[in-house]
Amino acid sequence: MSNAKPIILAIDTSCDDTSVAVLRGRCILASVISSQTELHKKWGGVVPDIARRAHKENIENVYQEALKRARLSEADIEFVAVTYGPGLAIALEVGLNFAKTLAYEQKKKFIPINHMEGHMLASFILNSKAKGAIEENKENKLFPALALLISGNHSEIIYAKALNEYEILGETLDDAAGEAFDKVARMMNVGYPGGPIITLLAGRASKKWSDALSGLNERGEKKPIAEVAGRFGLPIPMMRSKDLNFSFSGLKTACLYRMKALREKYKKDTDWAYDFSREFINAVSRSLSVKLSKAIKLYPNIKSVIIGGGVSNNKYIVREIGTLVRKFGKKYFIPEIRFRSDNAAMIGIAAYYNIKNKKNWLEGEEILTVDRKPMLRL
Amino acid sequence: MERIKYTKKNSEAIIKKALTVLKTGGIFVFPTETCYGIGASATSQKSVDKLFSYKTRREGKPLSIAVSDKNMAAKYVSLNEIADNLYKNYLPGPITVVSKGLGKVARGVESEYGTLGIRIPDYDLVLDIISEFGKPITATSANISYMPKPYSVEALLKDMPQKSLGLIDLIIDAGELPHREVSTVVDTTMNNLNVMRQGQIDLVKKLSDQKSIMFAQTNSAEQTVNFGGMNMLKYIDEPLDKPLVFFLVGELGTGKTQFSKGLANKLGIKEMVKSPTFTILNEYEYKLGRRKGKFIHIDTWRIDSLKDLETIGLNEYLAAGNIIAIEWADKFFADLKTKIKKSGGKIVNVIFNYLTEDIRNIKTYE
Repeated sequence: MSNAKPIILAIDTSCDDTSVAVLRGRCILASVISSQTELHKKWGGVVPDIARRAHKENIENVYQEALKRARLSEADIEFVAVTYGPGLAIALEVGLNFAKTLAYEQKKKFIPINHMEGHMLASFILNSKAKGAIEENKENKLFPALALLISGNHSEIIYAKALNEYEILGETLDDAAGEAFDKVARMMNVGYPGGPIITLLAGRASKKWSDALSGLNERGEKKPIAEVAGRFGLPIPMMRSKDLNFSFSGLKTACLYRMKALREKYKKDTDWAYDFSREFINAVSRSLSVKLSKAIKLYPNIKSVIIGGGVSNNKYIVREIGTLVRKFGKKYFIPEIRFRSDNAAMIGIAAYYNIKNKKNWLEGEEILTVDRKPMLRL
Repeated sequence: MERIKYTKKNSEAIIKKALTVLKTGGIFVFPTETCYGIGASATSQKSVDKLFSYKTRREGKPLSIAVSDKNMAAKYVSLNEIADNLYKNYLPGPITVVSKGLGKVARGVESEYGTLGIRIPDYDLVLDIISEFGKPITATSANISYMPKPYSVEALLKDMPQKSLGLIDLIIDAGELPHREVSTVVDTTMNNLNVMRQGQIDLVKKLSDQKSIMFAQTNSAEQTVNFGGMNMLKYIDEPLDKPLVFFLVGELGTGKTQFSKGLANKLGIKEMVKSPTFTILNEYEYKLGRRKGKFIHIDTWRIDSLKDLETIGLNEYLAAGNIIAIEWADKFFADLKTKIKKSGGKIVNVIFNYLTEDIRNIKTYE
């Protein structure tokens, strides 16, 4: 590395948003996400045709804005990092092509990044004043580590032997955690996306029910579900499975059936939706924590647990997982809110460690050979 | 520009001033239960254009509007069942409900797809202004583009370019607001259940005249996977010169993804076949004896039209040797069928139904 603190330009267009960030070493200088640049938040789901058009229209603007906010010019960029998978193929292409062209024509070093490594390392980003949860040069003390990555497309438990050395221990067999939220929101007829609205509804759950669901026993453990269930009786997915995989499709089916019965019983009165939302979140949350707990027991030598992905915006889930990790006496890291959902800053931080530890950047003609990998795994 | 401190006692005077601004095409800063907003008459082009100049950046992005109640909302958007539900139960409050617009607001307020986001702020002063005015006002946050959401007038005015500052006609200053997050945006225009169910009913009706080719009652995910495998076995010897397409039709959670896993298993695909809902399309390579190609797993749940499917590459995927499974194929059944027939592809319809929570009824038709 020519400089201990390289200037990294990072791009992510893996799905809904166009994001560009600029980092100096681990410090974030600018992080621009297209949905923030709009007068209001972006509306609607991902319609691919629209997603692509939006990225194409946006990427130049978002790039210029990121440079402007970082108070840098194109010449200052040393590395160009970009997500090459996993994600929606046509969306990935837009960011990848932009980054390849930029790096090749302007003779920058180029690093293709796995989006999931970005989520994994988002907690390592420092703010512009070089402050963050993880101090510089103390990173290695956190490994080996476990990571729980939960988003619209992923639910994975990762064993990280060291920075840049990963192994998937468990993953979803069907729907991802974030997807379960979207589908249940649709069954409830409350619109899209599901995560924020279901969390909002859960906030209005009766205190009694909410307390019962988050109730801890005298050892600080969650009470067995049998002690708190009764209202809707939603199952905790994969409670008894021996592996570390997740599955949310059974919960989805159970929700559908319970709701049919509730609608018949209460007719137009929909107050049950608040408690139901709370119980649904509890089921997802417990499923995640049961498997995470199992993983920690299997790998007692780990030093820390790292969380990432948009579903970690859910306060109930974060609270439960945080309590669990602390109970095991492990260090616990969760990204700043702005780095939990998809963003380019996390691609930048992943690039930083790739540069630092693996020196695996590409230059010249090599850059043009990189292709998108929609199904890429860690 | 005038700046007035809002005390509970001077609301009448403030409402009067705000109305004057609204009626004369001006813009004003107002407090809400989240952050400070900037208001202009949403039906006046002059006002909205002024707002866009203030914001400094437009890029064809929509604004949201604030109304005083559901009746006012109904004049500007068409409210479906989902929207009704949200208005009835959760508004006023920090939710912006996106519906299909009726084109009755100034240009640039609705999104380029004709949708319009509406909010009923949980803040009496603002509701009073809107109901006195009798028409909606814009409800975007008061910061200019790329600046943070303002929770105090001081924060708003800090570093504001003179050009924008000069455009504000009135600031209603309610001091530092509690730092509540900006409103949650909920889209009610996606996956209109009525439309989707209609598609499915038509398809099932047409097929019910025919005899099913295969049939299974499955009572576990595993059995559904196996049934998928049996279907693949049946069609594996189809000629290699055309694509084979499975239309998977059934409610949420009836086993469409499990069935697809079974198709993939029989093709010798080792990768985990997961729901493609989020990525819309997953692509796998397979090789089975002399037969090889791609297995394409598609979910149309988040997309609107056949055109979108073409954008993600349907035309290219409709090639010899490829096997395609499309979840929610009934969403644009007729168009899709025509297209696949044209490509010479063979269509297999698979209809999924629940009998009970655990038992599914799955039928295969040609």
